[in-house]
Amino acid sequence: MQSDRRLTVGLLLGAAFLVAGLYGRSPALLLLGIPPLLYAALLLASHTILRRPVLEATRAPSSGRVTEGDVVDMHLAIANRGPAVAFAAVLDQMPEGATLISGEPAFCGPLPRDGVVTTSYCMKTDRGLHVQSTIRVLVWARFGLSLEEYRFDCTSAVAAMPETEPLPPLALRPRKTHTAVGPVKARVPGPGVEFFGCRAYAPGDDIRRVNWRSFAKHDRPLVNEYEDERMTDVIVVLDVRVNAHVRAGTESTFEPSCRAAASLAAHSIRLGNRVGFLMYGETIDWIQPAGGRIHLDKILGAIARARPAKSFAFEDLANLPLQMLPSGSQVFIVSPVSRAGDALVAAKLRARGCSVLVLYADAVELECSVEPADDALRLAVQARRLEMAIDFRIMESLGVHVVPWNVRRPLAAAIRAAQLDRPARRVS
Amino acid sequence: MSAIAIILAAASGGFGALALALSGARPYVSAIAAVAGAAWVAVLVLRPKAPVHGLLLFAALAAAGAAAMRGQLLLGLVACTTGLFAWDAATMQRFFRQLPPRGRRSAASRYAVHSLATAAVALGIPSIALVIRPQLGFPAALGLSLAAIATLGVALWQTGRVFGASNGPRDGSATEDAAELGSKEEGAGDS
Repeated sequence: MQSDRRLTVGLLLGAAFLVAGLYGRSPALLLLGIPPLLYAALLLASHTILRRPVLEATRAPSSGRVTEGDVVDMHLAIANRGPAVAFAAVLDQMPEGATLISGEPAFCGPLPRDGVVTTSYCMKTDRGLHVQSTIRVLVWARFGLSLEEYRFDCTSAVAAMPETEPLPPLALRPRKTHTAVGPVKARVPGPGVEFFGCRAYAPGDDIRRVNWRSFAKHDRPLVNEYEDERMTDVIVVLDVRVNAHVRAGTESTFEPSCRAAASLAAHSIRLGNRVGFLMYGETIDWIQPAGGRIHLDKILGAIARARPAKSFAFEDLANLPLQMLPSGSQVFIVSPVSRAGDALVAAKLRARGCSVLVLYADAVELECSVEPADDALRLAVQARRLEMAIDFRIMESLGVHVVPWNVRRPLAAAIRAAQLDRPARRVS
Repeated sequence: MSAIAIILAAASGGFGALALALSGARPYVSAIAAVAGAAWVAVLVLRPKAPVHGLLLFAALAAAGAAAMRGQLLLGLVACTTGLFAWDAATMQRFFRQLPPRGRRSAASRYAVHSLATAAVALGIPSIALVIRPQLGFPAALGLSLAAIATLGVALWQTGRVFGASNGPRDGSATEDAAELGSKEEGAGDS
């Protein structure tokens, strides 16, 4: 009861004046006690008139799952199953990370008996899980100053998935593959389409596979072999350590990194690989490798929840639990690798037989945009570029492929520039 | 809404200071009452959320009481009532602030009307008694106070009767009911 405090104050003041008046036999003080007492009495009477409405509140989003930046329509409905309410205010809370586009998350007006009042608003969602819980209804009495507040627990959630972009083909060459058919060339002969080699004809071989030129040259029948194409495990590691990412003004490397991780996961699953996901930051969020659209949704949901995080336990990338990652798999590390020790992790992964590709979120241009252009900045940029070149050289020497990516440009352009789709530049 | 509280606080401070000045109190006492009123206005303008409105209400009531004891009963009553409703408006601001602008306007105008009516009743009864009988004695004042307490008792009894007999939810159980209904709906949806 919101009137409790007001009622208490009115009663206490009236009683205080009354006691003082009686004690001092003062008619003036007795009269001064009358307004607070009448105030309390009228507040009580108003509360009696108010009655308690029987309300039901519902909130329904137009979609529970959207892509970041999409507009979601929210519909609020308040049904009154009790006595009519002269004036009420329905207040909904906007979730964090959502921007109101049109309408209002509130309604003010009467609530008729056995009637339903609806209101709707549109909000634009950033990446993330947007949870709305309480709807508050303030109900005023028909007469007087009484006011009641009701809270309805109407939890609804809208998951705004990260945006994915189509990527050009990536020529993956992991050491291990599964037996199931997939897009990765398995370095073994089988029912593929790419020429692998020739071998001597054996009874039962398809006559159409005989290499007639070799037969003519060597005077013995040889048949063509094709490279088997199989499924592999692809692990996407997203680095969410707050100290690894760079923020310049309103932009940062974090959001583009999330989108890049989502794009790589979606691309790999669409090709038919099993994709695992590991988010490294405050805790370790690990999703076992699997395939299919539902699994992709699971990964995108995990990326949607990603927030820059700080943890002393995971301050360095060196604490990445390498044992969790399947040996011989293809690992994509999406990170602005910030320390010399971070590069060693990629080397350790190589030692476990993984093929490693580091997608380096380059923030130099981002940082330059907020700094005044002068000689000092030019020098700093040169020094940073040299530092990066040394880091890349070290990683390349360890067998790790590095794709520098300017976060302001499309990821596809960076992959094309790195010529990852060409066999000569296959990921080692 | 803030404007209502500011006007009432200014009126309370002004009437309190005037009552003290007319009652023959020392000038600095009236000046203190005026400064307290001005301070309340300043708090309402600059820091409306500051939890000092109760303290300032007591200051206003003290000024009103002092003036009433020195013979300025009518002005003291006005200062007391305006102070009480200024405090009420100040405490209600936090609800009004949450409303959208259009709703806030209509709610504030609604509040102003009801507040004025309540204040008229609360102030009117003792004022009329004073107008009819300016030299009100102790027994008459006691009788009026007892009548006010009786009114409060009737209101309390009515409240208990209505809410005791009501089938509607109590103690915020509207939320629980809604949750129950929600779970029933969910169950129906599942089936």
